[in-house]
Amino acid sequence: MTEPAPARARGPLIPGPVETVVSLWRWLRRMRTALHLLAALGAATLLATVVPQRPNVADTVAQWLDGTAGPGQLPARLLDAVGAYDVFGAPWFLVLLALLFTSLTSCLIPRYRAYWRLVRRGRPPRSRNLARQPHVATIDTDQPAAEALAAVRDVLTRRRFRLRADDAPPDAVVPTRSDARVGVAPAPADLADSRAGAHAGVEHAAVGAPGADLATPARPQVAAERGHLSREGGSLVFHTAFYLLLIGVVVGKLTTFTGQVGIVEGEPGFTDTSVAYWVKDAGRWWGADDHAGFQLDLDRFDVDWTGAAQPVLFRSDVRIRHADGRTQQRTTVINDPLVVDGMKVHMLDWGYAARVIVRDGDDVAHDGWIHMTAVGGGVWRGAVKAPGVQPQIGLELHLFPDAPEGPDGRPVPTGWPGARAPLLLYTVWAGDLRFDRVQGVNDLDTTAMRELSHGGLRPGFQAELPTGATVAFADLRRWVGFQVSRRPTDPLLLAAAALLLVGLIPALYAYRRRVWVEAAEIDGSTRIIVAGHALQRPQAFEEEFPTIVAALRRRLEPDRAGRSGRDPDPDASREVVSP
Amino acid sequence: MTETQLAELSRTLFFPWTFLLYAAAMVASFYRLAFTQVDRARDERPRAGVAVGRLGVAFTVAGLGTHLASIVTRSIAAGGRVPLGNMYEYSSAMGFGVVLIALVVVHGRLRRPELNGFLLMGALVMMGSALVLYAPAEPLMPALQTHWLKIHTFSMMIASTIFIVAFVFTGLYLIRDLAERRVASTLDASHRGSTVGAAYAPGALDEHDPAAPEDRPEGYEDDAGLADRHLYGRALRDAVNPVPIVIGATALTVAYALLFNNPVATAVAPALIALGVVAAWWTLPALPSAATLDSLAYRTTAFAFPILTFGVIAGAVWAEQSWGRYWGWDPKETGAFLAWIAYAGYLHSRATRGLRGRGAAGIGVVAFLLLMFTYYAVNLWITGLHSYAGAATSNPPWIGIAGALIVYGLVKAVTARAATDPVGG
Repeated sequence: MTEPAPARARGPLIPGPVETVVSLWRWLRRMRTALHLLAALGAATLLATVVPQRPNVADTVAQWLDGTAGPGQLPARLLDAVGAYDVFGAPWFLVLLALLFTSLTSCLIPRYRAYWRLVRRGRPPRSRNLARQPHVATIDTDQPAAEALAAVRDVLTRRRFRLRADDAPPDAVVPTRSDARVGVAPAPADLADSRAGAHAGVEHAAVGAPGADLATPARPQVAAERGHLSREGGSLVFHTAFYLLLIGVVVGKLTTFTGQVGIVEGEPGFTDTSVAYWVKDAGRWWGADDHAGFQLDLDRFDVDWTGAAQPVLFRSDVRIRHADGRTQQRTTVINDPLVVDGMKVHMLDWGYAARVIVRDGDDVAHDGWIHMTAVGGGVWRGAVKAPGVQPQIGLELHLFPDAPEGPDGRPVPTGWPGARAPLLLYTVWAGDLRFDRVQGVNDLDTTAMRELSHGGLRPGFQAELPTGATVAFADLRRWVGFQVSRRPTDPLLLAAAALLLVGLIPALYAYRRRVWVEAAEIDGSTRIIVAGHALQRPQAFEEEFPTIVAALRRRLEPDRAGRSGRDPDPDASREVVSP
Repeated sequence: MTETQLAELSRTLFFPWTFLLYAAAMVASFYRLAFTQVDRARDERPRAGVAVGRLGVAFTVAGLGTHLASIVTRSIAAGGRVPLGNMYEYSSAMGFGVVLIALVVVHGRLRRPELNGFLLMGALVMMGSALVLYAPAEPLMPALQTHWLKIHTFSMMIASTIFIVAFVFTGLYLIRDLAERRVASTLDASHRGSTVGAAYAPGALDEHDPAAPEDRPEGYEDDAGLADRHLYGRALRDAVNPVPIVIGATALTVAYALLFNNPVATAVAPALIALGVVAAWWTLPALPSAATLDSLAYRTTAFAFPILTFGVIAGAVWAEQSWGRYWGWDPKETGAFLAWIAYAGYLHSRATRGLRGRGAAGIGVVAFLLLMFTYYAVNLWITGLHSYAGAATSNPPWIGIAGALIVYGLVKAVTARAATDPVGG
């Protein structure tokens, strides 16, 4: 690093760790790099859109890997090797995200500093030649130059322009030492802005070289600027909100709890403890004593359909017993979750629950509610596993909620989702239930079993199996899947999202524009030259500039227009000026 | 009148009439653009085109009337809900929005009626897809019965509509920019770059716009060495060979329309796109300058982007309320995020030296394709919580994966080309 200049120009053949970090940092500071990273993020997201994601549809992923669905086994395995089934949890995605945030940080740090300088000391530069600005207008007035410029300052201030504080008074145009110093001050801010502004969609156009400030102004000049704080400030707020989002997501992951459980209507529900849930996802900082400990029972569940079997209503009447013993009745529908002791309770899904009893002689091998899942076409599926009998018995169940008897006495499924004439079809298997393997609660692994018999049951009926055991379809009710969750960082995330929007709007719509005004006294009358330049949104400024000129004209020319009134009412003109 | 009859009225009377009126308005608009400008270029009084143009505006207004009738009757037939419940209604609403923007903003405020033919074409493609995706009028499923439906889907619909308009401007910019660039390259080197639009010549808006009002009577004699605007216009048209562009645009649309698995869609949409490209080529002399078109595209996109952002945030709030999580990387959420990233990339690329102009426009085109991918492909092929279109068809993932590679390659190509091509010459 203490190499002389020639070596620095080429760089060492094998960069050392410091050089690597420095060059990586430089690479990350480039706008083009940020765009490439955004493009890579987009490509990763597109991949996640078209390839099934394990956290969302684990079954489909399994089918792809089996080769039963998707592009075939080899491509599916290749996708698995690159982590395409869980893009947003893949290590390379985290690296990408880290690079993006580093790039953002490297762009933001100089911009914060430049903005800080802009807020504290920033002032618009002088224009060396007003006539060369894109917008120029002249106004003739009877007022002396100094008075006219004072009026101009007043008008521009009222239009929320920021003026150059050290505007040379008309009798002292030669720059003093302090004038030269502050004249240079905006230059670094402007330079930093032109580089970093790239990140914010700022179209930067340099207006005069910074050195122009040093030139002795030929005439007294008012230099004014507007929009420079709101546009860059909005952009900074927008980009900073991403850090809040990141904090919200990461802390949220650590502190969140989500549990899902299904409960049958009229049956005892569940108590909010760490063991009560079928599926749960607790963050690392979530402890067992963070549960609220309430008990929830489902009294009644209503579901209704249109004539075309499209559901129009899901409603649950629940009873909640809080940990302190209070009890309350609540009703929840979709889109209206319950909030119980700080935990949110969402109704997520529902299904039919069949109570199936398997008896072997006097022994009850199975007696419980089967939470059946929909398989499409109005058919529901479930499984019974009765390991207590020898040989072990498994039942595959299929429920048709509406299968009235046809003219020949055989049940005919209509496909209607309501339980008008429920029919439970069962297939009995005997052998080894293979509990050594992982299987779904409604799946039956029949690889080590043989089929014994099959048949159909109406509620309240039972059938005898060849082994002498009996199967009874005791009752049919419905179960509702509830999700209980707590996400402490949700308010933070909402605030970050709001900041994102709040910053985005000025970052895109506010525009930086500068106005310069000079006055020259010619033959007892004063000619005012107004010049303007917009660094963004030139079209908007094209409309704004004439209104500024008109406001100045109203203030400076009333005498010319009226001739009679040498003493116009200043308040009246002010009212016109300031909207 | 029963609800079924109302729905039928909406579908079989108002909708087809709207389609026909828009199509007639589009043809009138193209006719006006193609022939009036020729007259103006020869400093003659415009004749036939003006009357046809007025007729086109009348057709547009009438079409908006029947379209509104179609949407309102549909809404009543579906039980008085917001008519944004499925892809048919959503596409129809987007078509309505595009035409409304064309009439009120582009014609009324921006005074660019010559661009309306292209916008009407965009609306017609949207409405064609609505016809293909027809779904019966029904009340909403419970997950959609909430105010957040109105807030989320409405803002997404508005943002998408404005993005359609932005895409039309971007496409026109690309073809006009190509022509201007080619003409400029035939000129002497000292003039090169000065006619090339967009960000390379800030403040030069409309300087070389032959369609600009009469306040620039001197035309191009000084600058370009061309005899007059007419010659410049002819030069623009001669500089571009429309055949590859038509073939490319048609092939892309055919590939896209094939996914609908509908012969009408596969035939009509590419035909419309091809007509639009030919019209853009033929009316090259009459189009606004590349700089103006680029600026229009940017302003339109910058207007829609916060709306898209708000729509995504509103969707997250709704998801938290309805599904108990604010973001679950459901395919539709992922797709919306994708489109958001792409448009953010467009806005950023505008500020990047070497990417302004064509490079940014390329990213804008990719962003729009991704938006449409999210809208059609995710709704139609990929099953997720958001699949409201009806039955999902088979899932052709390879098209998507190939698409991912192509999109990334396009972005790379655009950026690489712009990098070696700083003045875009």
